[in-house]
Amino acid sequence: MKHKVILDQTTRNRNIQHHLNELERDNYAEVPELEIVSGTITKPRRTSEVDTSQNRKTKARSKKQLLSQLTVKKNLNALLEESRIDQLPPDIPTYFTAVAGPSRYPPRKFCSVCGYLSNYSCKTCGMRYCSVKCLEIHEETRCMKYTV
Amino acid sequence: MTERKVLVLDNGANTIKAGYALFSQQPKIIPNCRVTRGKGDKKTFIGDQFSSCTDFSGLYYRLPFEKGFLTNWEVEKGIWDRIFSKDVLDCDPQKTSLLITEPCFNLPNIQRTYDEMIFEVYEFQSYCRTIAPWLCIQNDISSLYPNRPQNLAEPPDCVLVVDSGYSFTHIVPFVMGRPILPAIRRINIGGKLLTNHLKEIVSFRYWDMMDQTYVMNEVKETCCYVSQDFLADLETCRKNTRDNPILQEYVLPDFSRNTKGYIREKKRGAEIYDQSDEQVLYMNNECFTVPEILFNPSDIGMNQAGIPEVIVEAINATHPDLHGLFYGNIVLVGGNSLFSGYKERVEKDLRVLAPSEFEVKVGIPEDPITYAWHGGRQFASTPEFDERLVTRSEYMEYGSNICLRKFGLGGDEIDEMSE
Ligand SMILES: [Zn+2]
Ligand SMILES: [Zn+2]
Repeated sequence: MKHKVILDQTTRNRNIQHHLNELERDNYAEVPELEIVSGTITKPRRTSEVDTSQNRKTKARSKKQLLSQLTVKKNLNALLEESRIDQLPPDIPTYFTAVAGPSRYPPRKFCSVCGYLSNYSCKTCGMRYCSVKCLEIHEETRCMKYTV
Repeated sequence: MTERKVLVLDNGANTIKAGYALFSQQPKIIPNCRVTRGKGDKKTFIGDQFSSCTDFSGLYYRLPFEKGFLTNWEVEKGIWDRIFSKDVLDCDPQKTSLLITEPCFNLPNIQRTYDEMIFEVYEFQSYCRTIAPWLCIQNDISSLYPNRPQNLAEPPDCVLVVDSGYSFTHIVPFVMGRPILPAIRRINIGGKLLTNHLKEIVSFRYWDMMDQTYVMNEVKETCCYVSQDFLADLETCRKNTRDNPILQEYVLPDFSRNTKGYIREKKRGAEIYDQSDEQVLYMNNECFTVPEILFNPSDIGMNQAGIPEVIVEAINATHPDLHGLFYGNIVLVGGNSLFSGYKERVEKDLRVLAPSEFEVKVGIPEDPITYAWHGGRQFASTPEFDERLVTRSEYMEYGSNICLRKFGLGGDEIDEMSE
């Protein structure tokens, strides 16, 4: 049974962003389902204990204690928050300021099925297709899945 | 000081390049990961042990790096322990000075963890932490431009390093050996994303390869190239097999029979393949649409410019008097520089984008992966290296602050060189 849901631009953009994050995973395995309703992110956010003690005492702790402290797994978002580099004045160069800007050229458009240039986009999810054949494949297998 | 050894360790997110400055001509290249084979024997491979793995299906990777930053020290320590052991480099930290790389704009809290790990857990005698592009420019850069007139063969005052690695791509302009920090740019595209992207499109179009990161990375390294004329190549790929020189037939490895993957020769006309049950992956536009992402991240919806445009962006963030010098001294390093056609394409696109009065010169070292390590080896034999080292006793007295002061690369005066 087909859902008759049409994704708004915000959701489409968020899906693209989500997909780009997926491409960074170490063990990328399955293609997750698309976020269908704008504003609901179903993926659980991982949170970890943040060590807020900026001043770790060096002499008082044993090597073992230190090691267990240092090897606590923290994800990058937690570490970014902990680093407080976002609170530095904007003229101090950091990880955030170094990010390259957008291209001055408009993005090219490729068929999400075969990879050739495309002139059309799916009315439902916004993904690109180039021909009736590719649209059929898209609707059968990929519509409402994450992809390029 | 005769007792001291210098260990140069380029700690990349994908591979570690490690070796002693005085005794090794080449570094050992060690996977920076812990890999567990899921099925059957549940065997775990740490770092260099991965080279003894023969079945690459269903592998589960644990990487110490997340988006280019060292976040999982438990995994990293396991790999370092292995590297420092007698089996690999036989390193006694208390008698060793360590020269180690960190990512550009490493976070201060992560830097502190480097310091604590290296001085308090491993107890190295002394250490120096810096970025890989800076080690690269310790090499003889002028030898990368063989056609340059003799009088210009001295080390250039300005060098622009493009380091395209596993996690991301950095553009780093240097003046007189120092990075211009406000002009450094990062594109969030690296080799890992390219492999994952290839894995995904191949799985949608041909075989399900989602579980085969290792194999798809091999396919990427074997088949992919950077196109010099993207739209023309795309048209070529629509032609039938005979008239399409881009199409490659990659025979997938069969681990049960211990066969490796390879590109098989295309058969002509009436010849038919022997009906063996080999699985063939047809690599067509995938060969160049994947590396193309380095030049057009917007092809996969990323709102960032590609390498040539960002080189211009970085140069424009420097003082106008320096622009010509940067366009004439560009160095490409990192694993993605190995794609065939990469250097030519960077040069070609830059020629169009750069102001016409400037000469565009792009150099690429013979081995863009170990170039930083070799630069580190050079640096370790200079008096400047000893000045930059922080000793363990200094650290015990002053804490991480002394590392912050001595390892910093950009002086305040350098900021004046930016726009
Ligand atoms: Zn199509
Ligand atoms: Zn659709």
